[in-house]
Formats: sequence, C-alpha cells, structure tokens
Amino acid sequence: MLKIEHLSKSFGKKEVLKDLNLTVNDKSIVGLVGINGAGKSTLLRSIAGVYEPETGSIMLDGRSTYHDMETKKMIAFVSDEAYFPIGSTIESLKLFYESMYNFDPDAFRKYLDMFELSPKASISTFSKGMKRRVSLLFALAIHPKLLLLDEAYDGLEPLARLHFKQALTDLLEDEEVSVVISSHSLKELEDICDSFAMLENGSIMRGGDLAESKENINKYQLAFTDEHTKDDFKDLDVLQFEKEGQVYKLIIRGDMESTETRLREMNPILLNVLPINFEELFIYELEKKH
Amino acid sequence: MNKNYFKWLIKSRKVSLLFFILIYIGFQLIPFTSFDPAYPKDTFIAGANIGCVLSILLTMAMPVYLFAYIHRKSSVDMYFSLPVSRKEQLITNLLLTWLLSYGCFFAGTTLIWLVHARDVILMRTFVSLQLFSAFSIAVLILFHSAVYALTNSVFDGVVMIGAYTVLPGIVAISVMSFLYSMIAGRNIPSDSLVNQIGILLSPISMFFINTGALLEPEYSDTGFMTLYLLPMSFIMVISMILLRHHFINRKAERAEQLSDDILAYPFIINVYLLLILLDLSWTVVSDSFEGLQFVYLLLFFIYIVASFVYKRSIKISYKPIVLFLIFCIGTMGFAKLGWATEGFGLSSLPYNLYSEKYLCYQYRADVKLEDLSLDNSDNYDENYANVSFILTIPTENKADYKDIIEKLEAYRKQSRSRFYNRNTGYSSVCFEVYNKKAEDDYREYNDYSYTGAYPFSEEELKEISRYCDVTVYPIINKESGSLKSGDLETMTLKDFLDFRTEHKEITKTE
Repeated sequence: MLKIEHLSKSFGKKEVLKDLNLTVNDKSIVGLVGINGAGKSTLLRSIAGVYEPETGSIMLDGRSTYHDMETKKMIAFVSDEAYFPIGSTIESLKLFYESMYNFDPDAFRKYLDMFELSPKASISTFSKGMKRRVSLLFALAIHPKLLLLDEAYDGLEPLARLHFKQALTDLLEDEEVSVVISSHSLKELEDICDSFAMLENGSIMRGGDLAESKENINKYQLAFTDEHTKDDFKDLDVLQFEKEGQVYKLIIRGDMESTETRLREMNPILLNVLPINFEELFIYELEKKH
Repeated sequence: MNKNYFKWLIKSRKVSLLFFILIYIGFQLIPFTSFDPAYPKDTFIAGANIGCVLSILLTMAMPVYLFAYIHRKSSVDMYFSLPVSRKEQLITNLLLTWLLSYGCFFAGTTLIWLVHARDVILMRTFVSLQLFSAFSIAVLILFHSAVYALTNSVFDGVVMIGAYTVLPGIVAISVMSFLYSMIAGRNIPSDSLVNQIGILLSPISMFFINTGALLEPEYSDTGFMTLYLLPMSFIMVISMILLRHHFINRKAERAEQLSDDILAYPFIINVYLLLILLDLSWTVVSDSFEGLQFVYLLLFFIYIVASFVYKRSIKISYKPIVLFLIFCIGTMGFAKLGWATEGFGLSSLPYNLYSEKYLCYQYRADVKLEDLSLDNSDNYDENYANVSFILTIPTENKADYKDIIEKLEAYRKQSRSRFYNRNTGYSSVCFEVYNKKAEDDYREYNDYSYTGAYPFSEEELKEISRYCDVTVYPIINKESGSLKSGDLETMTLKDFLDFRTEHKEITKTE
C-alpha cells in the first residue's frame, strides 16, 4: 500500500504540493487528474524518489520511497519525458534494467512481442509512440510493486493502448501491484481506473472510488408546469443549474434515491436521471470549486 | 560503491572507455619513439609529463561525461529514481574516473620505467611519484566534479570547470601586478604565501610543481613541497562538502535551470571582474590611465556579455551597469589607498639580507655618457652608456663589506622613496637585491627589484668598483667622429673614464 501523508514540495517560492495526503491500495489503479500545473508530475516524481519530500512522507508498504533503495527497486516510473542515452537500443537498455532491477526476461520477451518492438534498432530512430512503448516495456518487465505512469497514453495509437490496458489488467490479476496513472485523456482512465485523485493547487481536491463518486453525482432532467429558480433547489448540493423553457438540467451531488425523492416532491411532469462520466465528474468538481 | 551500477557503467560505456584508454596510453608512449639510450631518464620524464597532462584532461572530461545526467530533466528522472542512492552513484562515478585517469598513468609510467628507466629512476622516486599522482588525481577529480555539480546545465558546467581552472592564474597575475606596480622593490620574500597564492589555489599547479620536483629535483627551486599536501587536502574536503550539497542532496528540479548558485556564475563573473579591475587600477595609480580607456570599455562589454550568458537573456538592466561602476570606483579607491600607504605598508616590511649563502646587489642603468647621470632623453638618436655591476657578497664575510652594504642599503631606501615619488613614464635605472645559494647558481631568492631610482654618481661607482667589476657599455647612436655604433665593447669603469677623456666628441650634445 502506498501512503502519502502531509506531503509538501516547493520550487523556489512556488509551493507545488501542499500538505497532500493520498492512499493507494494494493491492486488498485488510481487515475491522477488535474489541470496543467496542478502538480501531477511533481507528485509522481516525488513518489518515484526523484524529488525529496520537503515535509511529510511517502511510504510504500511502510518504507520510504526516497531513502529506501529496496523499495525503489519495486517502483517503475514512466516519466512524461522518456530518456534514452544516445545510441541506445532495447538490448542495451535491457543491460541497464538487468543490472538495477529484478528483471524478468520472460516478461520482457512477452511484452516485446506484444508491443512489436525491434530489440536491435536504435531508439533514437523511434517515433514518440514507439519510445513510449519501450518505456512501458521495461516498466512492466521489472515486475514493479508500484507502477507510476505520467501521461502514459500520450503518443500511443489505439491498438497499443489496447495492448497496454490488457497488460495492466494481466498484471493486476497476477500480482500485488498498484498503479498511479496521470493523463488528460479521462475517457481512457475511466476504462481502467478503479479510483481517482483530483489534484488542484497542489492538494487532493477530491478522490476515492471512481464508481462510487460517479454514482454520487448525477444528471437530472426535469420539466415543471410552473416556474422554478435555483433557490428552490438550495437544500440540494447543486453543482450545475441550467434552464431551457420549462426544462431544467441539474447536476446534483448526493445519494441518487434521496435526491430523486426530494425532486419528486416538487411535482415535476418529467424526471430523468442520467449517469455522468469521469470527464464530466472532473469538470463539475472543478467548476464547483471555482 | 554499487557493484551493479559500476558493472553497468563499464559495460554500457566500454567503447568510449576503451577509446580513452588507447588514446591515453598511445600518447604516453610517444617518447619511446625518440628514446636515446644516453638519456633514458628523459624518456621517463616525457612519458610522465604527458601522463600528467592527459590525466588532468581526463579529470575534467570524465565528470562532464559521467555526471551529465544531473543536468537534463529527462535523465534526472531516470537516474534519480534508480534503486541506487545518490551517494553510491557519486562514489561509483568518481571511482571509475579515478581508475581510468590514474590507472592509465600508472600503466604508462610503469611500462616506461620497467623497459627503459629502472636504472636511472630510483624505486623510491617511482613509488613517491605514483603515490603523489594517485592522490593529486583524486583531488582533481573531486574538485572538477564539485565545480561541475555547482551548475544546472552541461554548458555551464564546462564553462565553470574552465573558469575555476584559470581563476588561480588570474589571482596570481593580479598579485604579481600588485607587487610590481604598488610595492617598491616587490618587498616580499620568495617563500611568502603572497607569492604562492596562485599556486596554492590551483591543484593542477601543485600537482605539476611537485611532480617536476620529484622527476627533476636539480631544476626545482623548492624541491618536493610537502606543504602542498595541506591545501590539496583542504580542496579535497571542500569539494566533498560541495558534492554532498550539490550532488547527494541536489534538488532534481535544478536541471536545465539557470546556474545561479552563489559559487557558479555570480561568483565567477564578479571575481573575474574584480581581479581584472584591480589589475587595471594598480597600473592606473602607479603609471597612468593613458591607453586604458579602451580596456575598460572592452571589459564592460565582456562583463555584459557574461551576464547575458548567465541569465540566458539579452535584457539590459541598470543593475550590472551600476555594479560595474561601483567596482570601478571601489577598485580605484582601493588602489589609491594602496599607493598612499606605500603598498599598504608592505614596502616597509623588514627583510633579511642574509637568508642564503650569498647576498647580491645588481645595478643596471642607461645614463648620460658625460657624467653617468640620469638620462631621461628617451631619444634613441642620442649616445648613452649602459652601466652595470653585480656585487656578490658571501654572507660569512659580510663584516668585510660593512661599509659598502651600508651605502647600498641607503641607496635602496632612496630607491624605495623615489618609487612612490617618481614621475610617470620612462625609467632607466634598475636596482636589484637578492640572495643565492651558491655563487654559480642561476636561481635568485628574495629578489627585490627597484626601478626609477637615481643613478649612482661616478664617485659612488668608483667606490663600488673597489668591490666588484663595474662595467660600462657606451652606445653610439649619433655620428661621433670616427666612432660608429657597434665599434665599442663593454669596458670597465676605469677604462671607460680613460676612453671618454680620449674621445670627448662622444659626449657632445646638439
């Protein structure tokens, strides 16, 4: 289990992470979302042990991810800016990962085939998507306990995404692995994440089980014969209020059943409840905040 | 050290490491091609000297090569997330650099020694050379790595290594310039720390000087300086502290940022400016401002360009301009104060006349032929005489020379006072006082040199000629009867006086 407590990190005078707390359970895939500059990459780099926490702690199974080298061995970090030494090939990088991590040659061969990569070609000749595949290949081949993926979907074409999702699912089935994945493609995250953490101004604005959170926020379409204003719904946690003629569209946070009961008390001539997706959840939470 | 990391470093860089090794050994064995059985020692010395130079270059190049990853955002992510602690990374990289730099030196010098120089280079000398080289190379690796780690980009790292390597030279030049321009007689003993400051700040100089002393003690002024081990160790400790701060505890986010650490550009730019401005100020105060306007302008231009390089932006602000002006005024004020206090009192420091076996007085002056008085004509169409003498006094016989020593010391006082009260410009009299270890020794110790003094009168020269040869070389630039330039040779004072009586035409002025 990854446990982050009271984590702070500043770049000069700018405080990028502020008293951040986050727990990632084993066999969980957490989608890390937030607007640009929210601190997603900084958080992932801090977990990976690239940045030292200024305050607080980051523990994986009770051991520091910055100071404990055995713990670091169990973390695979795929950065948003992948680095490959000049002239390196997959073969030469294999040497690197074999020397540093618990490298699994069988897994390596399996993912090499899956990602359709040539082991002897110079990585500098690869496209951005292929380079991303190389990073993912090695991240998966070292059997990490914690997999950190920063903008992991960037540059991957649909088939590679599919392969990668499959690989992640396999990994979670077979091993006690946790995944923290940041991406701007919330639709993609929705497919694989079971929980999420929404970063805003360096701290977790909202997080938890994704399905539960989605259930807790719903879109309600209503029609009334008489006129209503937003104030008529003030006892509900309305995230968004829209009115077109006699039709009202409301995004309301709260238990669906009790909210529906409350709305029915207002005698609507029409009441539809629609689920929201992850992207909408993100947008409404952000709008509410601002 | 981390074994896995070390193995990976070797395996992943085997081609480049092999290239370095082959080039190194190849260069070091060049003296084999010119081996002379009559002088086998020369082959060893040449090989060792080439080895020193190559090792020094490697101690500069290898940190740039191995630590470049701390300066790139993408590589920082990879290396700092490795399950190898920063300390282990540092130690492993340093060890590899040392093994390469010293290992090649050891291999090359051992090969030459075994094949050609075993009989002429003593085992003790060879071992001392190896031990000192191993230590010096370690110091240089730590120093260059620390300087490289001060910065936040590869370019800045290379610039800083260059700047810190040259800095002791600039300090030495500034100190020398101060001694020559501001202190009458350069009144500082040879072994004074002031004279050594440039060397003591430079591990490269100390490495070279002591290696030279071990290999060729006959040409060394000081012999092997055990004292140098102290500043070298100090530099080693400072480098370790810097590496702890700038590598082990380095903030990964520094990569690709401005190199604004206080010891990087802010220190280097301002210290270089200050030292060069001090050099100029010594000259302005002791000589004249004439011709230096352009130098000041050029220096300002270079300072602004250096600020642009540091800040990576071409934006003119008032701050560097004001700082430059403050430095100019400050250094000029400091130099004026130095001149007013006769070199901050250093010119009046007591000195020991008899620190070595011989005390020597040397005098050279371009003077008028008619009375051997001061020739300020600065006209090369005129006839004049070059008068000189070297009086060498064995210190054990100083009592026999008491009178002349008193006279010459009085002259020395006069020379010192004249130094601070002279008119600027041409100075035709040079008076030196120094010590020697042996009469035929070419090396001079405690060399105090005075320029611009009044020349000795004929009477005084006559008295001096009782103790040593006073020679006169008449220089004929003007048609003087049958005498032409080049006709005359150096003669004794007595011969000259007779000659002048016979050839009065040479003293005629129009």
